[in-house]
Amino acid sequence: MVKKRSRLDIVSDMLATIQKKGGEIKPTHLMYGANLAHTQMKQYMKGLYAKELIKDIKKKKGGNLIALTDNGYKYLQKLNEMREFEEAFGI
Amino acid sequence: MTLGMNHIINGVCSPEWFLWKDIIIDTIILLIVIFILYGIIKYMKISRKKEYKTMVTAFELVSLSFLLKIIVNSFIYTMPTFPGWDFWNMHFMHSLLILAFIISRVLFAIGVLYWYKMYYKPSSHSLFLIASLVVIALYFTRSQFYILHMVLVLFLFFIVKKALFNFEEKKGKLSMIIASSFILFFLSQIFFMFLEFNLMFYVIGEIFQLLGYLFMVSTLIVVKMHGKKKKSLRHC
Repeated sequence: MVKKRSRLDIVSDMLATIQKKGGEIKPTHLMYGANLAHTQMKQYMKGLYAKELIKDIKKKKGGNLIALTDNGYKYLQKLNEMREFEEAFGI
Repeated sequence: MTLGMNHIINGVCSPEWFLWKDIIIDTIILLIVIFILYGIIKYMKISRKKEYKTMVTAFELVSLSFLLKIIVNSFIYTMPTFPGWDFWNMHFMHSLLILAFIISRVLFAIGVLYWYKMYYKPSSHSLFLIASLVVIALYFTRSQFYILHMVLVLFLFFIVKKALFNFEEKKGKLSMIIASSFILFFLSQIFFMFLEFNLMFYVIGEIFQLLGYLFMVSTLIVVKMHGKKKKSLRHC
């Protein structure tokens, strides 16, 4: 059985999805990339905005992009470190 | 009284040529443990995993144990040169140092117990039984120096088993390094067990212990370097 993702797993997936797209992504692409429902994504994004891990960027042609902030990159780095550390210890 | 206990009472477990060198090794270990502890506390702030709390407690206890051991050994090595001390002063100081030495061993034993808890997550009932085993071992340590190390060997055996199983599963270099460091801790305790027969075992045990902690800290450094590399990719 596939293990349910924790809150931290979801945040990590969202930030990693944005990073994979070069640090900027369309909201719909983020939703599919992180495998989230729309309401779920909105809920998580609220938290990420509040912690200044992501920000909105206005496109020239109109519409918004979601971008990783410096804090977001740092946080993602910490999460990656943590994952590797957990794997090494087997916890 | 066994030779090992004589060593505790005399306060010296190390061959003469190794005096102070062991304190240098223990100081390096203490600094490594504090560095690892600092790293884990940072991760604990991000994750709510219970294992982090257990790990932090384990490393806190181990660092306290080494700190106390360094203080005790420094006193013991300088004590014969204290001028103007009468017999009672020396006797009182000796008793205090033996107590501190035993407390440092207790802290280390409980630290290892927390490592065990991190991997096996025993119920509170089993944990109570295990803790009782450690207390009994500590009691007999007063007359049979090797018993505590025997109990630690037993715990570390199970920890090594789990770490090797993790390596088998993940096949990663880092999990191999962690398994190796626990193997080195396991071997160091075996060497400490035979301290009664030859003080050289203390030297070998100390070196193995140092290598174990160096392996462990290298994992943390590699993990941090990987994280930095990943971060720098965004500028490409």
